[in-house]
Amino acid sequence: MKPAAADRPGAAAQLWHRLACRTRQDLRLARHPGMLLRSAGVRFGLIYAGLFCLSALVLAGFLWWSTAGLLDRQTDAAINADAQGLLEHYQDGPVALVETIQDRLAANIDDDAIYLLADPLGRLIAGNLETWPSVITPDVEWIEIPIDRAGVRGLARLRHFVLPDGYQLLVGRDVQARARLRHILGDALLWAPAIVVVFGIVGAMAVRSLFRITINDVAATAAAFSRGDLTRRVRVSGMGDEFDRLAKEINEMLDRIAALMDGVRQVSNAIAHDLRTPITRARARLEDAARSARDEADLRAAIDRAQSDLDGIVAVFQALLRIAEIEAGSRRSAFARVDLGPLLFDLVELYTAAAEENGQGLVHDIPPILPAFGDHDMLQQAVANLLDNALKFSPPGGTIRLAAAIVGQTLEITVADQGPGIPPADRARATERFFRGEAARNTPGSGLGLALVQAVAALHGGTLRLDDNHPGLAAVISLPALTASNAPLPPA
Amino acid sequence: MLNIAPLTRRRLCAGLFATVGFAATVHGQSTDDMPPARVTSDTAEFCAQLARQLRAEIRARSTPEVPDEVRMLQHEGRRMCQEGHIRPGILRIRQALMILKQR
Repeated sequence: MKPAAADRPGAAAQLWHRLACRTRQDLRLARHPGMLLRSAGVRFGLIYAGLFCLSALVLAGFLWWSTAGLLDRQTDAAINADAQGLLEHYQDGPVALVETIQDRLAANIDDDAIYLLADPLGRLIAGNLETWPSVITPDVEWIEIPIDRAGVRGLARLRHFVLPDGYQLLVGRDVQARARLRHILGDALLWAPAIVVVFGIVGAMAVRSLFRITINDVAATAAAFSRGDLTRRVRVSGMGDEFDRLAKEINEMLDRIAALMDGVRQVSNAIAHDLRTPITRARARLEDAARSARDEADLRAAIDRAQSDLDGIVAVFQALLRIAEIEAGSRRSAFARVDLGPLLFDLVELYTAAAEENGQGLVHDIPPILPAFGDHDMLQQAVANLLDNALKFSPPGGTIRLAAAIVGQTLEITVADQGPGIPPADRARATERFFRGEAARNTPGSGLGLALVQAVAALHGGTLRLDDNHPGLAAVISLPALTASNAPLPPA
Repeated sequence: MLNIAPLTRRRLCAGLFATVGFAATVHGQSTDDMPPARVTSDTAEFCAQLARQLRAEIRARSTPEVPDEVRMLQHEGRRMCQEGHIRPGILRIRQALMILKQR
């Protein structure tokens, strides 16, 4: 939606203000060059500018090589070819060489050939230079000298040959046109760096600005989060680039932190709410005993009841600490290959007696070998918690089923009972700490059993699912199955 | 990630300066301090010498007809040299010699 006309001046003023602030900040930094270089954005910009200028230099060098350089190479090739022909004529004697030089001068339509032949005494005997150039000594091979052509100054490139018998030959070309081109190119290339520097600076500022926008956004989000605004997230541009991936990772981290903080708040509230009752009850009993105990036996009985209440409270705290330890993932380093088959068979043996005492049946469907990767004790405790719940909530005569199977890449452990089950509306909350459904109000327990099972499943990279057993509840722990060759990587 | 090793930094700077220095050297080559060598094939004497050579070539031809183009170039070349336009005059006489040689 376009801003209203009245808003545009306000937006422009805001932009100007931001620019001014940024410029003041840059000027402060510019007074201290060391501080300027500490800025990652400045370094990125300088690297960009440097690479841009280097690329421009390389391009300029290539242009020079392919234009002026090409002309130079062509001139030298022409001189060498010309000289080759003259030297072949010299084999017939100096007179033949003189005639050849005169013929070539007469036929030089391009009017660019330069020749000079001198005898061993230094006398000039052929060619179109008035004097022997003093800078050309026997050791000189290639040289460029200024020439005078009908009063106009020019430039010639010459190759010097010392011939047998002491004769000396100069073969060359008028390269004034090439020199003019080199000057023109050189002037252009001298201006080019200025243009390159300007564009490099503009590009560097753009790179730095882009860098700064992203970093500032992340920094502002982190600062707001630290101050308590847990809803703040880093902006995702939607381009799917590296900055977006970084923003998404940071946002996921912030989501996780916010969820953990919510969890801590919930636990604190739950502890305050759910433990107050047993603590208050224990206190009331002791107060009552102190007021109305008739003898030592009454007092001991009151003390025993209080001890029992406090033991229950301690057990709740221990369970909470256990869940916190599991969720922190500190036990992940102890993961190893585990065969869940014997583990589950042991639990069946342990709980069959208890089920029989309750008039319940315990059936099982467990493969003999169930390889997994995790913590033996934690997995045992998780399944034991589910069996505890099943025994607690199944009616006499009911059947409890413990089953395990590998389904695709997943290992599933199912504990099903025929109790009242958990209504669908409560299933999402059933794994929260201290949650007690309506059916569990009158049964002993702290509401931490399923929370611990959930934590163990999550630590092993799996899930806990609560389904309807028609009737009753089917609790399913799903874990990554161990592959044939290697153990799966521990969950992040 | 943004730190460039000191040795790499020195090499980059050296390469940059060498390139700029080379460019400056190539562009700034100068022979201004040397007296120029006079080219004798741009003079009226050379033009006259070529004109004599052209007349000799024409006389040496056994064919009775000399192409009109050659005569025109000979005439133009001689005239231009006499009027002081030495190099264009020499060019025309050379062109006439070239045409004769090709026949």
